[in-house]
Amino acid sequence: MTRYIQRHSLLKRVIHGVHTVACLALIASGTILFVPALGRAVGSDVVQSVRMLHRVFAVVFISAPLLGMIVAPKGFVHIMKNFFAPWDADDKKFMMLFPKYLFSPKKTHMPKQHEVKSGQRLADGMLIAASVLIAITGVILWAGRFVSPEVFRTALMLHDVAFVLVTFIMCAHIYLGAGVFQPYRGSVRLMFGDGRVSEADALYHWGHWADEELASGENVVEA
Amino acid sequence: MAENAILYDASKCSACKGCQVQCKQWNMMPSGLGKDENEFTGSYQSMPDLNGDTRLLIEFHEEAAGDGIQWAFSRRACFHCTEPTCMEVCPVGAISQLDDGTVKLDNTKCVGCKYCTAACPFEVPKYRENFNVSNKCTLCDDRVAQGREPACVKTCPAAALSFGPRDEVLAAGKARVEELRTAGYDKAELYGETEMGGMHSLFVAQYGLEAHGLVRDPKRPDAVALFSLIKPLAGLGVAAVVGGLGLSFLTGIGYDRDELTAESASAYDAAKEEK
Repeated sequence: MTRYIQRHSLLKRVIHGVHTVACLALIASGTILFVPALGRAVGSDVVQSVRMLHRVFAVVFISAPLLGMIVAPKGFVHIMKNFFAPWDADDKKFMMLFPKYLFSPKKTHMPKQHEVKSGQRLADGMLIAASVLIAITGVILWAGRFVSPEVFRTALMLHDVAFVLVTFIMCAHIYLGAGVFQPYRGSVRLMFGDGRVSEADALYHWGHWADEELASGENVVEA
Repeated sequence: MAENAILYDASKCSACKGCQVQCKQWNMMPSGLGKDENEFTGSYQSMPDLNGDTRLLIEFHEEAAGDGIQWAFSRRACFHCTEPTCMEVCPVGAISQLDDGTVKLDNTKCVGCKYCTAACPFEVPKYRENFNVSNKCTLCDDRVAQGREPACVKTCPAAALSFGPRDEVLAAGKARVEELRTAGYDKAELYGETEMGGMHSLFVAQYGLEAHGLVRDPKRPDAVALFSLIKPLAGLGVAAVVGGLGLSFLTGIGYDRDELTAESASAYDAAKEEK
């Protein structure tokens, strides 16, 4: 019998899944617009279809998290609480060790973490900021005929900057979150599976949080 | 093929708007026919600016004079820059530069993204809503290909517009500016000789550039310069991130760890504390 901790709810996983698909589709379609040579290679008909799809996925990208906030406000508050939780000594140590850990995981022992690792909080913060920026500027670009060329130009530049940021963060997020990085193997199950983490993985990744969860037993499942 | 250019001589222009009408007629661009459909500009100018259906506009720049108003007329249309920023940012290659220097917008390829409007230092290309494309002067490349002049030039009754090889047009423009200065128009200037790498629509500004509403020393907008910086940097950045993560993956091959339990983890922590 293995013990698991239920880490993510079904709603959270569904919203995360929808948001992931929308985000990847936006990056792919955005790349065609971002790199003129690609757009010219595929031709204007394809680019036009891609632009329309880009807007459809943009609506999904913006509305999915908003919907989550409306449907589960307590969950949103919980996420925000974790996000703004003060950093303790282990959080700081984790960030100091992380670059070394990334390139020598076999020789690096990482400190215990709370529900959300300090590194992830940092990455989440950048991702949220870039996503808000890309959403606002995207709406301005969509409403291009109602704004001055100067506003359009600025929005386009900021949209591009945010696009680059989101792309970078997503590369790292997928590498770690999908468990391509060996120590994170199996973590894809958390968001794209049943949302459960085994006792062993929980203790390894989020020691403080796992201790609390195992002690309370509230979300512990045996299978 | 030799480069061509249009020369607009504001000192000869009577602002009859014949060129504006002829441009619409040749290019089949409708005018607003509904009552009050065109916004009143407060002057004789037809509309405040170029729009999706108007590629050429005669502007009336007014200045109070001793006994009334003095006008400085302007021909507002694409300048056909040698270094066109609109072409640089077009994501589908709808804007191209012909051998004679004409900057052509092919509306069969245009997707109406409006990037060209944002990139143009003169904000010339305008969005044509009904067709979801951008629109701007093509220097009547269809007529020129048949050995004819652009429609606006053909119709000008005051000979304020001329068309021909750029070097000849340039020489004529310079000579006209000299004439005007000799006649007492000290501020007369030729616009387009070097601006934006040299334009293919030159302008004799009788009263100086500012009086005719022309942008002195136009530059490609800073945002466009940033676009061209961001793109290669983004490419390098993505390569660095992917390369870094690839290296991280390689260093992690063979990684293994003992299956932890709450008990073994506590024992490990206790042993560590004892140490």
